[in-house]
Amino acid sequence: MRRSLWSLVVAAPLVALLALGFRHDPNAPYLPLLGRPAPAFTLQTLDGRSVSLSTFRGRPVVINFWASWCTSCRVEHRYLAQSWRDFSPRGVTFLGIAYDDSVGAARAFLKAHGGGWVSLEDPGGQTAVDYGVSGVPETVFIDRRGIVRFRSPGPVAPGGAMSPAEMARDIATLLRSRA
Amino acid sequence: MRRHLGWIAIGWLVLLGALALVAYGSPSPHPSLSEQARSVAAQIRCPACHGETVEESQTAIAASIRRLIRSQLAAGRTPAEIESFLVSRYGSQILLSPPASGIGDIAWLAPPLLVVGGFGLLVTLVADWRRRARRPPRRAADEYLERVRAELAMEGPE
Repeated sequence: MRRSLWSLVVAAPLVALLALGFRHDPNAPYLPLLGRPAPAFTLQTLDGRSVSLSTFRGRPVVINFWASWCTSCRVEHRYLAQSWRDFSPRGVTFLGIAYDDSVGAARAFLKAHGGGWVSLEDPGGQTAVDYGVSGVPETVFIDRRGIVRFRSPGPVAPGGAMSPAEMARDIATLLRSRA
Repeated sequence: MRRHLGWIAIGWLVLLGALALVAYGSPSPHPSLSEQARSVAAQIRCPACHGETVEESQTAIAASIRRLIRSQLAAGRTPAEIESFLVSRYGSQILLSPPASGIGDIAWLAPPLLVVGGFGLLVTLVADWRRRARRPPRRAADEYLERVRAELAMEGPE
């Protein structure tokens, strides 16, 4: 009797700890930037012009971290392009940030796949780290006040981290935000 | 001598533990920037990998984080400031050692508690063995032996 009571005393907290551990996925992306100001940056476009995020204050901004070598980025590109066609006339700024890529390869990708939004270089991937990016593609949605509102930690595509419909809904929410 | 064997063994264990702490617990007094960067990177989990630190991983994001650590150390930031910046971007699971708060407390408290508990168990066991060794043979066994001897004597040699 005493022995079984002791076993229970030892086993119960261990089982409780295990239950607590199984309740969350250790690989689930944790996104601490949500609800916080988007980190500022000034980067060069692929043509060598300087662009600062602060220029777009008052407008919703969609930042897409991508690379020409990334296959998911290729899948995602057409959905981004569609979204850019739908929302840029309504005042949404789309920015691409080429991560761990050469200017030549990034330009060739855009030439082959289209897309009229501005793409920026990120030397050393420091802006990607500043945005808590783990890999490409990742898309960050910033409201008119410069606050990070939504994030897709993976491709925006059917069956991806965010569906194209979800992206459209999130951008519509950004458009409703106050400056 | 044999009576004290248990205590001598415990003494050795404590001494070895203390030596291990001294050997692995004290870093070199003036590490270079590269050494410092490596030691910070060894405490940061690679966000794109499974079970690898930023120091070990060959992924692009690990290289970017290593670069950031180096540049921040060169700019005079402390390892704690760099870790806190990375936590603000990637969350506390970016740290290899869990933070000493909330559920992380259990991870920090469990090892010393287990060591203390284990040591207590060892002391109790050794004390118990020594007590048993000193205890005189049980009376029941003596009575039984006498009865066997008496019965053998009654039968007598044939």
